[in-house]
Amino acid sequence: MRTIIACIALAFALPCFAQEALNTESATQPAPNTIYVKPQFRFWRFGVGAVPPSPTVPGAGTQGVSRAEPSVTVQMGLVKDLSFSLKVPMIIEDRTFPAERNLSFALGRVDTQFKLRVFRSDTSSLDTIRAVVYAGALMPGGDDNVAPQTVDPYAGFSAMIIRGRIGVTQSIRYTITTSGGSWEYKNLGGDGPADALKYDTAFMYRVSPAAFTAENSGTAWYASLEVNGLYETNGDNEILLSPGLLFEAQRFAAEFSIGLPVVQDVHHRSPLEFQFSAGLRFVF
Amino acid sequence: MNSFHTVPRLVRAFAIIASVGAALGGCASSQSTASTDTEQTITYTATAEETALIKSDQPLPPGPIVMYMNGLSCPLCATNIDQQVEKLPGVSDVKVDLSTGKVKANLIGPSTPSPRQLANAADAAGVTLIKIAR
Repeated sequence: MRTIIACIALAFALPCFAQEALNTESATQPAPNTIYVKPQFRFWRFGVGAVPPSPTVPGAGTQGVSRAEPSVTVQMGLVKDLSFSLKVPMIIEDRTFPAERNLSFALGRVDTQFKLRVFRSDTSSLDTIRAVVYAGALMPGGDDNVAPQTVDPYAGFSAMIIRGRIGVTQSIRYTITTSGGSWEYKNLGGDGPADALKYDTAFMYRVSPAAFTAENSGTAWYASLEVNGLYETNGDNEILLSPGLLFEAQRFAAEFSIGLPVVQDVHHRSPLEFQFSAGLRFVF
Repeated sequence: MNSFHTVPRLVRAFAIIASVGAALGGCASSQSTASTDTEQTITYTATAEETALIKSDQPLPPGPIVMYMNGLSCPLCATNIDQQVEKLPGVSDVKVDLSTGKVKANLIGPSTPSPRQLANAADAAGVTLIKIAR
Protein backbone atom coordinates (compact mmCIF):
# COMPACT_ATOMS: atom_id res chain seq x y z
CA MET A 1 0.00 0.00 0.00
CA ARG A 2 2.86 2.36 0.84
CA THR A 3 4.32 1.62 -2.58
CA ILE A 4 1.08 2.54 -4.28
CA ILE A 5 0.82 5.77 -2.34
CA ALA A 6 4.47 6.55 -3.15
CA CYS A 7 3.90 5.98 -6.85
CA ILE A 8 0.76 8.13 -6.90
CA ALA A 9 2.46 10.86 -4.88
CA LEU A 10 5.44 10.76 -7.23
CA ALA A 11 3.21 11.01 -10.26
CA PHE A 12 1.45 14.08 -8.91
CA ALA A 13 4.45 15.74 -7.28
CA LEU A 14 6.61 15.87 -10.39
CA PRO A 15 7.09 19.15 -12.15
CA CYS A 16 5.62 19.04 -15.62
CA PHE A 17 7.74 19.29 -18.74
CA ALA A 18 7.79 17.17 -22.02
CA GLN A 19 7.37 16.24 -25.63
CA GLU A 20 4.45 14.09 -26.73
CA ALA A 21 4.68 10.58 -25.24
CA LEU A 22 2.87 7.53 -26.56
CA ASN A 23 0.63 6.65 -23.60
CA THR A 24 0.26 10.01 -21.87
CA GLU A 25 -2.17 12.66 -23.07
CA SER A 26 0.04 15.60 -23.97
CA ALA A 27 -0.50 19.34 -23.75
CA THR A 28 0.31 19.72 -27.43
CA GLN A 29 -1.99 20.18 -30.37
CA PRO A 30 -1.90 21.16 -34.04
CA ALA A 31 -2.23 24.76 -35.14
CA PRO A 32 -5.47 25.84 -36.85
CA ASN A 33 -6.01 24.09 -40.19
CA THR A 34 -3.13 21.72 -39.47
CA ILE A 35 -3.87 18.00 -39.21
CA TYR A 36 -1.99 15.26 -37.36
CA VAL A 37 -2.66 11.70 -38.50
CA LYS A 38 -1.53 9.02 -36.04
CA PRO A 39 -1.68 5.35 -37.05
CA GLN A 40 -0.90 3.27 -33.98
CA PHE A 41 -0.71 -0.35 -32.93
CA ARG A 42 -1.18 -1.57 -29.37
CA PHE A 43 -1.00 -5.05 -27.94
CA TRP A 44 -1.95 -6.20 -24.45
CA ARG A 45 -1.51 -9.58 -22.81
CA PHE A 46 -3.63 -10.23 -19.74
CA GLY A 47 -3.11 -13.13 -17.35
CA VAL A 48 -5.42 -15.34 -15.32
CA GLY A 49 -8.26 -13.29 -13.95
CA ALA A 50 -9.20 -12.78 -10.33
CA VAL A 51 -12.85 -13.46 -11.14
CA PRO A 52 -13.62 -17.14 -10.45
CA PRO A 53 -14.85 -19.27 -13.37
CA SER A 54 -18.63 -19.43 -13.67
CA PRO A 55 -20.61 -21.69 -16.02
CA THR A 56 -23.64 -19.37 -15.82
CA VAL A 57 -22.13 -15.90 -16.23
CA PRO A 58 -20.74 -15.28 -19.74
CA GLY A 59 -17.17 -14.06 -19.58
CA ALA A 60 -16.66 -14.69 -15.90
CA GLY A 61 -13.43 -16.48 -15.15
CA THR A 62 -11.52 -15.45 -18.21
CA GLN A 63 -8.28 -17.41 -18.24
CA GLY A 64 -6.23 -15.15 -20.44
CA VAL A 65 -6.70 -12.47 -23.07
CA SER A 66 -4.52 -11.27 -25.93
CA ARG A 67 -5.76 -8.04 -27.46
CA ALA A 68 -4.40 -6.16 -30.47
CA GLU A 69 -5.64 -2.74 -31.43
CA PRO A 70 -4.61 -1.07 -34.67
CA SER A 71 -6.03 2.43 -34.79
CA VAL A 72 -5.93 5.72 -36.64
CA THR A 73 -6.30 9.05 -34.89
CA VAL A 74 -6.93 12.26 -36.79
CA GLN A 75 -6.37 15.45 -34.80
CA MET A 76 -7.06 18.84 -36.33
CA GLY A 77 -6.58 22.37 -35.12
CA LEU A 78 -9.93 24.14 -35.26
CA VAL A 79 -9.08 27.62 -34.03
CA LYS A 80 -6.27 29.00 -31.91
CA ASP A 81 -5.83 26.83 -28.80
CA LEU A 82 -8.64 24.41 -29.69
CA SER A 83 -8.33 21.07 -31.46
CA PHE A 84 -10.55 18.09 -32.15
CA SER A 85 -9.48 14.48 -32.50
CA LEU A 86 -11.17 11.31 -33.66
CA LYS A 87 -9.67 7.89 -32.95
CA VAL A 88 -10.98 4.83 -34.78
CA PRO A 89 -9.65 1.52 -33.41
CA MET A 90 -10.13 -2.04 -34.54
CA ILE A 91 -9.97 -4.83 -31.98
CA ILE A 92 -8.60 -8.32 -32.51
CA GLU A 93 -9.05 -10.30 -29.34
CA ASP A 94 -8.32 -13.84 -28.27
CA ARG A 95 -10.16 -14.55 -25.02
CA THR A 96 -10.07 -17.93 -23.33
CA PHE A 97 -12.97 -18.88 -21.06
CA PRO A 98 -13.05 -21.95 -18.83
CA ALA A 99 -15.03 -23.92 -21.41
CA GLU A 100 -14.28 -22.22 -24.70
CA ARG A 101 -12.00 -19.93 -26.64
CA ASN A 102 -13.37 -16.84 -28.35
CA LEU A 103 -11.60 -15.03 -31.18
CA SER A 104 -13.19 -11.68 -32.01
CA PHE A 105 -12.57 -9.02 -34.60
CA ALA A 106 -14.62 -5.83 -34.45
CA LEU A 107 -14.66 -2.08 -34.44
CA GLY A 108 -13.44 -0.80 -31.10
CA ARG A 109 -14.67 2.25 -29.23
CA VAL A 110 -14.40 5.39 -31.35
CA ASP A 111 -12.90 8.16 -29.21
CA THR A 112 -13.93 11.76 -29.86
CA GLN A 113 -12.10 14.51 -28.02
CA PHE A 114 -11.86 18.29 -27.80
CA LYS A 115 -8.68 19.79 -26.36
CA LEU A 116 -8.40 23.39 -25.21
CA ARG A 117 -5.11 25.04 -24.31
CA VAL A 118 -5.61 27.06 -21.14
CA PHE A 119 -2.06 28.14 -20.41
CA ARG A 120 1.12 28.79 -22.36
CA SER A 121 4.33 30.46 -21.29
CA ASP A 122 7.26 30.34 -23.69
CA THR A 123 10.16 31.11 -21.43
CA SER A 124 13.03 30.88 -23.92
CA SER A 125 13.78 29.90 -27.49
CA LEU A 126 13.36 26.20 -26.60
CA ASP A 127 11.60 26.16 -23.26
CA THR A 128 7.89 26.23 -22.70
CA ILE A 129 5.21 25.51 -20.14
CA ARG A 130 1.71 24.69 -21.33
CA ALA A 131 -1.49 23.17 -20.06
CA VAL A 132 -4.69 21.90 -21.63
CA VAL A 133 -8.06 20.65 -20.52
CA TYR A 134 -9.72 18.01 -22.64
CA ALA A 135 -13.06 16.27 -22.77
CA GLY A 136 -14.59 13.64 -24.95
CA ALA A 137 -16.51 10.42 -25.12
CA LEU A 138 -15.92 6.78 -25.92
CA MET A 139 -18.55 5.58 -28.37
CA PRO A 140 -20.17 2.11 -28.46
CA GLY A 141 -17.98 -0.59 -29.97
CA GLY A 142 -18.93 -2.72 -32.94
CA ASP A 143 -19.34 -5.93 -30.96
CA ASP A 144 -20.36 -6.47 -27.35
CA ASN A 145 -17.75 -9.21 -27.10
CA VAL A 146 -14.86 -6.74 -27.38
CA ALA A 147 -16.24 -3.34 -26.41
CA PRO A 148 -19.12 -1.96 -24.32
CA GLN A 149 -22.20 -0.71 -26.15
CA THR A 150 -22.43 2.54 -24.20
CA VAL A 151 -21.30 6.14 -24.51
CA ASP A 152 -18.82 6.92 -21.75
CA PRO A 153 -17.83 10.59 -21.27
CA TYR A 154 -14.50 11.65 -19.87
CA ALA A 155 -12.61 14.82 -18.95
CA GLY A 156 -8.99 15.47 -18.13
CA PHE A 157 -6.13 17.87 -17.61
CA SER A 158 -2.59 17.77 -18.94
CA ALA A 159 0.40 19.99 -18.27
CA MET A 160 3.91 19.91 -19.65
CA ILE A 161 7.20 21.67 -19.18
CA ILE A 162 10.08 21.53 -21.64
CA ARG A 163 13.51 22.63 -20.46
CA GLY A 164 16.15 22.15 -23.12
CA ARG A 165 16.62 18.42 -23.63
CA ILE A 166 14.19 17.41 -20.92
CA GLY A 167 10.43 17.36 -20.81
CA VAL A 168 7.80 16.09 -18.41
CA THR A 169 4.07 15.74 -18.96
CA GLN A 170 1.49 15.03 -16.28
CA SER A 171 -2.04 14.02 -17.24
CA ILE A 172 -5.10 12.89 -15.32
CA ARG A 173 -8.36 11.77 -16.88
CA TYR A 174 -11.63 10.66 -15.31
CA THR A 175 -14.03 8.47 -17.27
CA ILE A 176 -17.62 7.89 -16.24
CA THR A 177 -18.35 4.32 -17.26
CA THR A 178 -21.91 3.27 -17.87
CA SER A 179 -21.46 -0.20 -19.28
CA GLY A 180 -22.38 -2.30 -16.24
CA GLY A 181 -24.03 -5.67 -16.79
CA SER A 182 -21.92 -8.31 -18.41
CA TRP A 183 -18.96 -5.94 -18.64
CA GLU A 184 -18.36 -6.47 -14.97
CA TYR A 185 -16.78 -9.74 -16.13
CA LYS A 186 -15.30 -8.69 -19.46
CA ASN A 187 -13.60 -5.55 -18.17
CA LEU A 188 -9.90 -5.34 -18.97
CA GLY A 189 -9.40 -1.96 -17.33
CA GLY A 190 -11.65 1.08 -17.59
CA ASP A 191 -14.51 -0.70 -19.36
CA GLY A 192 -16.42 -2.15 -16.42
CA PRO A 193 -19.18 -0.64 -14.30
CA ALA A 194 -16.65 1.20 -12.13
CA ASP A 195 -15.49 4.69 -13.15
CA ALA A 196 -11.85 4.99 -14.16
CA LEU A 197 -9.16 7.48 -13.20
CA LYS A 198 -6.17 7.37 -15.53
CA TYR A 199 -3.07 9.14 -14.24
CA ASP A 200 0.06 9.32 -16.34
CA THR A 201 3.46 10.91 -16.08
CA ALA A 202 5.85 11.02 -19.03
CA PHE A 203 9.51 11.90 -18.76
CA MET A 204 11.37 12.50 -22.03
CA TYR A 205 15.01 13.12 -22.69
CA ARG A 206 16.41 14.25 -26.03
CA VAL A 207 19.19 11.77 -26.70
CA SER A 208 20.25 13.28 -30.01
CA PRO A 209 21.14 15.90 -30.96
CA ALA A 210 22.64 16.99 -27.66
CA ALA A 211 22.20 20.54 -28.87
CA PHE A 212 20.24 21.78 -31.85
CA THR A 213 22.30 23.59 -34.44
CA ALA A 214 21.32 25.23 -37.70
CA GLU A 215 22.35 22.02 -39.49
CA ASN A 216 20.73 19.38 -37.27
CA SER A 217 17.49 20.93 -36.03
CA GLY A 218 15.36 18.88 -38.42
CA THR A 219 15.28 15.62 -36.44
CA ALA A 220 15.57 14.42 -32.85
CA TRP A 221 15.70 11.17 -30.88
CA TYR A 222 14.08 10.97 -27.47
CA ALA A 223 14.15 8.31 -24.78
CA SER A 224 10.92 8.19 -22.82
CA LEU A 225 9.89 6.77 -19.49
CA GLU A 226 6.22 6.81 -18.56
CA VAL A 227 4.38 5.92 -15.38
CA ASN A 228 0.89 4.92 -16.52
CA GLY A 229 -1.67 4.42 -13.77
CA LEU A 230 -5.27 3.26 -13.87
CA TYR A 231 -7.46 3.36 -10.79
CA GLU A 232 -11.05 2.13 -10.87
CA THR A 233 -13.65 3.07 -8.30
CA ASN A 234 -14.08 -0.61 -7.42
CA GLY A 235 -10.64 -0.33 -5.79
CA ASP A 236 -8.53 -1.85 -8.55
CA ASN A 237 -5.28 -0.04 -9.20
CA GLU A 238 -2.55 -0.80 -11.70
CA ILE A 239 0.64 1.11 -12.51
CA LEU A 240 2.85 0.42 -15.50
CA LEU A 241 6.37 1.55 -16.11
CA SER A 242 6.73 2.17 -19.84
CA PRO A 243 10.14 2.86 -21.37
CA GLY A 244 10.17 3.84 -25.02
CA LEU A 245 11.83 5.62 -27.88
CA LEU A 246 10.64 8.48 -30.10
CA PHE A 247 12.09 9.73 -33.36
CA GLU A 248 10.80 13.10 -34.46
CA ALA A 249 11.28 14.86 -37.78
CA GLN A 250 9.58 17.95 -39.13
CA ARG A 251 6.75 16.13 -40.90
CA PHE A 252 6.54 12.85 -39.04
CA ALA A 253 7.43 11.00 -35.88
CA ALA A 254 7.84 7.29 -35.04
CA GLU A 255 7.61 5.87 -31.55
CA PHE A 256 7.27 2.71 -29.51
CA SER A 257 7.08 1.71 -25.87
CA ILE A 258 6.71 -1.38 -23.72
CA GLY A 259 4.58 -1.24 -20.57
CA LEU A 260 5.36 -3.51 -17.64
CA PRO A 261 3.26 -3.64 -14.46
CA VAL A 262 5.07 -2.51 -11.33
CA VAL A 263 1.98 -2.22 -9.12
CA GLN A 264 -1.02 -4.52 -9.45
CA ASP A 265 -3.79 -4.31 -6.93
CA VAL A 266 -6.44 -5.88 -9.15
CA HIS A 267 -9.34 -7.94 -7.81
CA HIS A 268 -12.11 -7.47 -10.39
CA ARG A 269 -10.40 -8.26 -13.68
CA SER A 270 -7.49 -10.00 -15.32
CA PRO A 271 -4.13 -8.47 -14.48
CA LEU A 272 -2.04 -7.10 -17.33
CA GLU A 273 1.17 -9.00 -18.08
CA PHE A 274 2.62 -6.51 -20.55
CA GLN A 275 1.69 -3.90 -23.12
CA PHE A 276 3.38 -2.95 -26.38
CA SER A 277 2.64 0.24 -28.28
CA ALA A 278 4.01 1.61 -31.53
CA GLY A 279 2.92 4.50 -33.65
CA LEU A 280 3.58 7.02 -36.35
CA ARG A 281 2.57 10.67 -36.53
CA PHE A 282 2.27 12.67 -39.71
CA VAL A 283 1.70 16.40 -40.03
CA PHE A 284 -0.34 17.81 -42.92
CA MET B 1 5.59 -11.38 -6.79
CA ASN B 2 9.16 -10.54 -7.81
CA SER B 3 8.03 -7.60 -9.88
CA PHE B 4 6.44 -6.06 -6.79
CA HIS B 5 9.75 -6.21 -4.91
CA THR B 6 11.47 -4.21 -7.63
CA VAL B 7 9.00 -1.35 -7.32
CA PRO B 8 10.80 0.72 -4.65
CA ARG B 9 14.05 0.59 -6.65
CA LEU B 10 12.24 1.60 -9.83
CA VAL B 11 10.47 4.43 -8.04
CA ARG B 12 13.75 5.65 -6.58
CA ALA B 13 15.42 5.50 -10.01
CA PHE B 14 12.59 7.41 -11.61
CA ALA B 15 12.62 10.01 -8.84
CA ILE B 16 16.37 10.54 -9.30
CA ILE B 17 15.99 10.96 -13.07
CA ALA B 18 13.09 13.36 -12.58
CA SER B 19 14.91 15.45 -9.98
CA VAL B 20 18.00 15.70 -12.21
CA GLY B 21 15.70 16.87 -14.97
CA ALA B 22 14.05 19.42 -12.72
CA ALA B 23 17.44 20.69 -11.55
CA LEU B 24 18.69 21.11 -15.10
CA GLY B 25 15.46 22.81 -16.04
CA GLY B 26 15.80 25.25 -13.17
CA CYS B 27 19.28 26.23 -14.35
CA ALA B 28 18.09 26.76 -17.89
CA SER B 29 15.32 29.16 -16.99
CA SER B 30 17.25 31.39 -14.65
CA GLN B 31 19.33 33.36 -17.13
CA SER B 32 18.84 34.98 -20.48
CA THR B 33 21.31 32.58 -22.06
CA ALA B 34 21.78 29.32 -20.23
CA SER B 35 23.13 25.87 -20.82
CA THR B 36 21.33 22.58 -20.26
CA ASP B 37 24.15 20.09 -20.64
CA THR B 38 25.44 21.18 -24.04
CA GLU B 39 22.20 22.93 -24.99
CA GLN B 40 22.14 26.70 -25.34
CA THR B 41 18.75 28.19 -24.62
CA ILE B 42 18.24 31.84 -25.35
CA THR B 43 15.57 33.95 -23.73
CA TYR B 44 14.61 36.68 -26.13
CA THR B 45 13.39 39.95 -24.77
CA ALA B 46 12.25 43.01 -26.69
CA THR B 47 12.66 46.72 -26.14
CA ALA B 48 9.58 48.91 -25.89
CA GLU B 49 10.16 49.99 -29.47
CA GLU B 50 10.38 46.38 -30.69
CA THR B 51 7.25 45.44 -28.75
CA ALA B 52 5.40 48.34 -30.32
CA LEU B 53 6.53 47.18 -33.76
CA ILE B 54 5.07 43.70 -33.16
CA LYS B 55 1.64 45.31 -32.65
CA SER B 56 1.82 47.35 -35.82
CA ASP B 57 -0.72 46.81 -38.60
CA GLN B 58 1.55 48.49 -41.13
CA PRO B 59 2.66 45.99 -43.84
CA LEU B 60 6.37 45.28 -43.69
CA PRO B 61 8.45 46.28 -46.71
CA PRO B 62 9.59 43.44 -49.00
CA GLY B 63 12.89 41.75 -48.23
CA PRO B 64 14.32 39.21 -45.80
CA ILE B 65 13.29 39.28 -42.14
CA VAL B 66 14.33 37.40 -39.02
CA MET B 67 11.69 36.59 -36.40
CA TYR B 68 12.90 35.81 -32.87
CA MET B 69 10.67 33.19 -31.24
CA ASN B 70 10.34 31.68 -27.79
CA GLY B 71 8.85 28.20 -27.33
CA LEU B 72 10.24 26.39 -30.39
CA SER B 73 10.81 23.13 -28.57
CA CYS B 74 10.90 20.44 -31.21
CA PRO B 75 11.02 19.68 -34.95
CA LEU B 76 7.23 19.26 -35.09
CA CYS B 77 6.83 22.69 -33.47
CA ALA B 78 8.97 24.04 -36.30
CA THR B 79 6.51 22.58 -38.80
CA ASN B 80 3.62 24.25 -37.03
CA ILE B 81 5.26 27.68 -37.26
CA ASP B 82 6.47 27.42 -40.84
CA GLN B 83 3.03 26.25 -42.00
CA GLN B 84 1.28 29.13 -40.24
CA VAL B 85 3.67 31.82 -41.44
CA GLU B 86 3.79 30.55 -45.02
CA LYS B 87 0.00 30.84 -45.24
CA LEU B 88 0.30 34.61 -44.99
CA PRO B 89 0.34 36.52 -48.30
CA GLY B 90 3.76 37.61 -49.49
CA VAL B 91 5.74 35.21 -47.31
CA SER B 92 8.16 32.69 -48.80
CA ASP B 93 11.32 30.74 -48.00
CA VAL B 94 10.50 30.21 -44.31
CA LYS B 95 13.41 28.58 -42.48
CA VAL B 96 13.29 27.59 -38.81
CA ASP B 97 16.45 27.28 -36.73
CA LEU B 98 15.68 25.51 -33.45
CA SER B 99 19.19 26.19 -32.14
CA THR B 100 18.56 29.91 -31.97
CA GLY B 101 14.77 30.22 -32.10
CA LYS B 102 15.12 32.31 -35.25
CA VAL B 103 12.65 31.99 -38.10
CA LYS B 104 13.87 33.53 -41.34
CA ALA B 105 11.52 34.46 -44.16
CA ASN B 106 11.47 36.46 -47.33
CA LEU B 107 8.70 38.99 -47.93
CA ILE B 108 7.83 39.46 -51.58
CA GLY B 109 5.25 41.05 -53.84
CA PRO B 110 2.96 43.99 -53.45
CA SER B 111 1.07 42.48 -50.50
CA THR B 112 3.17 41.73 -47.43
CA PRO B 113 2.03 40.87 -43.89
CA SER B 114 2.08 43.27 -40.97
CA PRO B 115 4.02 42.45 -37.79
CA ARG B 116 0.72 41.85 -36.01
CA GLN B 117 -0.24 39.22 -38.62
CA LEU B 118 3.11 37.50 -38.13
CA ALA B 119 2.66 37.60 -34.35
CA ASN B 120 -0.84 36.17 -34.65
CA ALA B 121 0.42 33.37 -36.93
CA ALA B 122 3.10 32.51 -34.38
CA ASP B 123 0.55 32.58 -31.58
CA ALA B 124 -1.75 30.25 -33.53
CA ALA B 125 1.18 27.87 -34.01
CA GLY B 126 1.73 27.80 -30.26
CA VAL B 127 4.92 29.87 -30.04
CA THR B 128 5.64 33.49 -29.12
CA LEU B 129 7.06 36.08 -31.50
CA ILE B 130 9.28 38.43 -29.51
CA LYS B 131 10.74 40.71 -32.16
CA ILE B 132 11.35 41.14 -35.86
CA ALA B 133 14.64 42.25 -37.38
CA ARG B 134 16.00 42.80 -40.85
